[in-house]
Amino acid sequence: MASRRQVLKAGAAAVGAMSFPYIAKAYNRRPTLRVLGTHVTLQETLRQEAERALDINLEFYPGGSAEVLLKAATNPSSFDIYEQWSNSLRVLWDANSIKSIDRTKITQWDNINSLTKTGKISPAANFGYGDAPYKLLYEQPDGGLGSTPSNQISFLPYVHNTDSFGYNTRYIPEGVAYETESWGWLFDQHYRGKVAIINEPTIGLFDLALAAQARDLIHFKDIGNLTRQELDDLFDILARLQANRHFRGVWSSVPRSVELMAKNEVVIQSMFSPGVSALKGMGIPCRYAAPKEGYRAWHGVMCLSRNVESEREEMAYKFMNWWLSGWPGAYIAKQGYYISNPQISKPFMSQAEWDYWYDGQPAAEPLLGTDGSVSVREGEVRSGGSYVKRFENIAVWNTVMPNYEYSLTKWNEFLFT
Amino acid sequence: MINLLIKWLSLRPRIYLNLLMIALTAVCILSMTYYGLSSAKQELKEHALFTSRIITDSQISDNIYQLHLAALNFTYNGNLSATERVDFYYENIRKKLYTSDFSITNTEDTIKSLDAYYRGFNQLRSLREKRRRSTSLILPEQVLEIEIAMDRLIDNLNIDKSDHALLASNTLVILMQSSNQGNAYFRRYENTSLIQARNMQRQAYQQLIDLKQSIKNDALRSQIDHVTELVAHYTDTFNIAVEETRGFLYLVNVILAAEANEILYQSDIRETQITENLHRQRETIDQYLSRLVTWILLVSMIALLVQAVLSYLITLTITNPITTITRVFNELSEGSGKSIIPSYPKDDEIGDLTKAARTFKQKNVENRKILNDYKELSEQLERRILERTQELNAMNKELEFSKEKAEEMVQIRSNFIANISHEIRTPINAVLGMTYLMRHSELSDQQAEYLESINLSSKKLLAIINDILDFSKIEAGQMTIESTKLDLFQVVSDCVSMLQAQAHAKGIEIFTHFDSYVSRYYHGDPLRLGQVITNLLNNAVKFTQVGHVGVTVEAINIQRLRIKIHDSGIGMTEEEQSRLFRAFSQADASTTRRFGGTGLGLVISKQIIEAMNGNIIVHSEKGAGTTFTIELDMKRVNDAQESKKLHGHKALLIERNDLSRSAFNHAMQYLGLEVISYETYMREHISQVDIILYAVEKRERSALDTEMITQLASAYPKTPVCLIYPMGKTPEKSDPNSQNTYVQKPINPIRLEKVLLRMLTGEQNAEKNSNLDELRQEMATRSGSRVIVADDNLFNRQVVSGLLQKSNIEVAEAIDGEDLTEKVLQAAELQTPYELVFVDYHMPKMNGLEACQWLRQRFPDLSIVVLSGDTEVTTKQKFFTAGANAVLAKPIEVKDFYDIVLSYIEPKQDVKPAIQQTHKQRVPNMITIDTTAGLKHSGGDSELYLSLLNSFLKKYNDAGNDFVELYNNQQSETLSLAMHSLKGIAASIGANNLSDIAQKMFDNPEQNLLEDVQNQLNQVLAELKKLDLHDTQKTAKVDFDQSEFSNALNDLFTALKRRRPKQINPILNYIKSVNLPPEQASKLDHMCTMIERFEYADAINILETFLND
Repeated sequence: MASRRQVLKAGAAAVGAMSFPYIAKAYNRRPTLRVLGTHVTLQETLRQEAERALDINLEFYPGGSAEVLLKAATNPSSFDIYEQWSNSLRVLWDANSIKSIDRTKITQWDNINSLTKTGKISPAANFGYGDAPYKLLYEQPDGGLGSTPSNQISFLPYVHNTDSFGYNTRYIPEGVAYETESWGWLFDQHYRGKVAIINEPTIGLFDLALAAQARDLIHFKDIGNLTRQELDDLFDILARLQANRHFRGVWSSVPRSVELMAKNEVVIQSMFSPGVSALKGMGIPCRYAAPKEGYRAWHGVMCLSRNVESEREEMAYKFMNWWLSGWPGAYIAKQGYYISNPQISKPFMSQAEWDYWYDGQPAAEPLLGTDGSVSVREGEVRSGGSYVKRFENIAVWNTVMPNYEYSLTKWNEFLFT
Repeated sequence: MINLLIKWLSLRPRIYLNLLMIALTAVCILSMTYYGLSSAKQELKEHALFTSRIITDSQISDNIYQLHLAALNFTYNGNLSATERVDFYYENIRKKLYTSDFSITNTEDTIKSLDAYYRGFNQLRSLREKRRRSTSLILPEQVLEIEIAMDRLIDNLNIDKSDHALLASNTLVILMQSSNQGNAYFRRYENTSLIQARNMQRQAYQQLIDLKQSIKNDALRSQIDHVTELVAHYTDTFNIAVEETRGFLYLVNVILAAEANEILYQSDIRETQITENLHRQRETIDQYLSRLVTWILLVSMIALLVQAVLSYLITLTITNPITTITRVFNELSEGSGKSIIPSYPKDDEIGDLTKAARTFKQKNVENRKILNDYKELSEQLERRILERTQELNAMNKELEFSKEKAEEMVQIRSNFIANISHEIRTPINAVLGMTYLMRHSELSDQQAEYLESINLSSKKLLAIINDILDFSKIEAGQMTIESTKLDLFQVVSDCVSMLQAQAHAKGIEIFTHFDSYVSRYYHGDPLRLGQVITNLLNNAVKFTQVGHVGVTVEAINIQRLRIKIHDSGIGMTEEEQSRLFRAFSQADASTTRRFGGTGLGLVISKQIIEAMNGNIIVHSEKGAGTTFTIELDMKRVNDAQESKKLHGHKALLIERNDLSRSAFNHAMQYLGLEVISYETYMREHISQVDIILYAVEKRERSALDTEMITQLASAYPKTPVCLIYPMGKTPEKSDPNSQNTYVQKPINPIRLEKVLLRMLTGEQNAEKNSNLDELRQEMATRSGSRVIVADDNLFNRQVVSGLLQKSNIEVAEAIDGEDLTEKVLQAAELQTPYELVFVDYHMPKMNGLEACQWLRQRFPDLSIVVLSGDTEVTTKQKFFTAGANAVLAKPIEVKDFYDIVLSYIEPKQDVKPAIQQTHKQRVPNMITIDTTAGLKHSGGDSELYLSLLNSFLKKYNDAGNDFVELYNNQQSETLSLAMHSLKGIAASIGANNLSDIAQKMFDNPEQNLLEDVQNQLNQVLAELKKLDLHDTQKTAKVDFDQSEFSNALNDLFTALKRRRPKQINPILNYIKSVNLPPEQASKLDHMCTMIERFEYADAINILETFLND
């Protein structure tokens, strides 16, 4: 998943910008597959590799999450493959712009781990609140989505990760993973005016909710499905913090988050893994926290357009299978993301890479990122530990809640009071 | 530098240069200031611009709010005007950002955010439009289409089978409900509506599928398919509309809000930066201004400093040469002249000054030479002046010598005059003496009057001499004026009577006239006033051949009198008048020969009157007589006893002479008489008058007079007639009655009063106390009183004792002040105090003054009378201050003496003793002694007088030799004292000449007048020796009784030993009175002399020898 970083380098607005910057069109006569998605996965390296491997034309339509979601939801004929996160799946499914995938056509289905199939990476793991991927994976007989396995799946499980907050250890003493590090730090008065949140209600809202709960300011019945009352209470707390100018602001793109901390406008904020890597690359000691309350997790979904038929459909299945073929998983691991069938990708990784990224071992050697530069120094240990350890500690999944529209209004209040 | 400047520029350009430089400095400072102020202004302008930008910037956040609110408004309400507002605010903010200050670092970021916002808003706008179309157009259309299709289907199904139609209808209802729920979601964005709408859509879709399966009819199946397709289509459209809705909600609430949030954050940063910038800029401006001020000050100060230094240098270029030249000038003026005038290179004013200095120096040298020449000349001149001065001094000395000589001459002259006066006095005294003797002989009144005239004339002659003496006194400034009670009438009458004879001889009448306001008694000096009047009257009579002389006395006011002496004489020219009051001059030198006189009278008179605060003026015309007018201060004595005894009586006055009548009229009115004139008498036939005064016209009573008198006598039978005789005429001696019934002209108010009183009231004794005998009689009433007299001079003591002992007054004697005080104390202790003390002034041990003071302190009530030869007012005052009650002049006037005694001793007995008939012993006339005066001093007691004369003879028998001895031994003080003593004693016995010469010698001890004194004394002694004084005494001697005499001598011896004169004297008298055998008498005589000389020691020796024998 180098696409995110490439997008960062391009300097364009990533998440929120609703422009359609470019369409990489294929001019040969090979069949063309249109992929709509975010910069997270729609990366040029991957496209070229896929074209070469599949001998097809690939058209990537990367965009901001809201933008692509809107596009996908309102115009299914505008794409063949849709790549986004699990929190957008229900929308697309409800909007009837995607159709289920025949899992039998997924060659690596059996190698896909239990995280998406059962909701637990290990028996000790939490399910996590919110729209955990396993709850949406299978198409149910009523046409809805559920965890009861069926041959029809709503999405192909592939990249995923656990998110938390990053902090600059120059200013904040380094905490102990799962012991002292806490979402509550976001509300610490010491960092007043130096705190930023991702500008996405389906994501940032959970960071804030987790922080409020960690501080014992509020207790949610189901943090993944907040009631109107709970939203009101939460935003009251936030309004008080805003009145104290606690937040520097929100960021809508990873580069922006990097910039904020790099410029020292922020010392602690919601972060994505590539952002942390980028800061470390810049020599800023940003630590990606392993909160004792658990992570906010996300899961990438690859969907089929409702309108994909026949030959194009075959191409789409090929592309999906390519994604689980090993190399892409290894590639995307360089930016800290996991793949749903790691064992297949492991041969495509060095031992050091595997040990560092998946096993939670110290880096045996300097590790390069997707851009080819060193993103992990020798001896460094990934915060939060191994893949399993991390996914055992899920607090909540990124989710579009039923009160999504109401939360939007509240979000506006939060930002614009 | 200075010299360079001087060489380079002349004075004026230098001054102008200085001024120019001052101006340049000023311009420099002004320019600096102007520049500074301008740049400050510019700086402030920039600051203002900056501030305005900031103000603009500060509006950005506000605009962002407005922008986002407009966007929200548009989002939720679809208000299109809100989009316009969004556009407006976007443009506005953008413009502001572009024009904002370049120093703000985040402008680019802010613009980026703003543009993102606007992009987002535009997407929002299009999205909202899409949604609008979906929800407002497409979905209702599709719902309608479904409805129509469903209605047709239901109709067809109704035909076929009713169950299916019912299901279809139910489906339609569900669809409609779904549509409603969908609309609700679009309106309120509530999730529940959305879920319900979707469930209903799914239910309806499922029911349609179920319906199709239950229907076999193909037409109906296809119809159901159509409807199903429509519903699916609707669902798709609905989902799109939902996503569109969510999309624009997401846009506004998340994307736009975040951008707005970012812009606001950036605005905050901007504001912070702006504040910082503002602060920085303000600091910068402050610093800039401070720097500017510092610079301006620094530059100004440097400029001023440089200017000051340059000005100082330029000033030095001016002052230095001037100072040098000034110094040269000073040196030249001080005379050194050696200094060199510095060269001055420029040809300006100072150059001129230098040249002038050089010229001056040159001139100075020349001047100095001239000055030296001048000095030499001056010295020569001075020498000559000195010589002249010395000559003049010599002359002055000569002059002084001459002056001294002249003064000496004057002194000699004075002395000469004095001597001459004395020489003249002697013969006059003789004349006076003879006259006196004649007056005591049997004389007719006429003879007596003639004799009186002779007496007066002689006295007048004496007066001339006295004039000369007076004049000497005046010249010496020794003139004193006494102030005592005086009888003005008496003074004037005395003067008139003094000249009466003379006037009568010339056939001139003298009138006296007193103004009715004139009183009789005044305070003044009667002698001096009389002297003046006499003098003037004398002149008047002297220079009047025919006519009259008048004395008029008027009162100017209560204390100033005017006395006019007028005559109808020859008069004077003005020139003569002008010479009148000069010494030794008469109106005409020739008149001096004709009329005689010293010519001093007027001068003395003038001096006397002036001393009385008065003046004399003269009015005269040649041939028409002369009037002397005296005006002088005379204080009236308020005499209540002033006689008005004649008040109420009527008097008929018949006098033909107007002047005389007027005078009588006045005098009589003054006496209180009512005067009736002859005219009145004739006219009114006054029936009753008390007295008739008839002026006899001629010396002999004429027939007319006789007739008139007879007539009057018949008219007023019982009325006495007082004849007024002309001067020189007296009634016949044969007419004894007439003795006291006439008055004589000129009028004498006193005599007139006396005569009229006698005639009208029969009062005999009008002249009270005037008679010495009467005084003596009164003295008898003081018999038994105790008096003490202190005088070192036996003679004087004898006089006083003698006068008092006659009245049986006990008299004690003291030989000096100490003796006196001792005795007074003793008497007081013995309760036999003295009632009266006579004390001499000049006494040894304690003089009269000291004794007086001593006594007054201890005996405040004791009466003390000082005896003094000097009765000048000042001396008298001295005595009074010392405590004296009265001062009695020596030689003693008996009358004054008795007056004093009577005043100070209370009467002791009422019995009027029989008048002691004193044995009248004949006192011989002598040449050297005025026995009349001497007798007078002895109270007319010739026995006393003779005893005094005897005492004198004894005392001074050998004195002449003693004086010579004293003189030779240069015992001047003792001699002087002796002279003073001699003077007093001589005067009291009437040896006036001796007294005078003794006085003179006392006054001028340096002059060798001893010979004169001796001569005079010898003359007196010789004359006294001729008298048979012993015989006189012998007649009184008692027979010798041996035992009595021996006791007396023993008593005397004891008394002498004790020095008790009081005890000595009676014994001495007894001894003297005893007829002793001649051998004893001679021995005791010597002893007596010794005792009388107070040489008690010698006396004791003699007495001792005598007693032993």
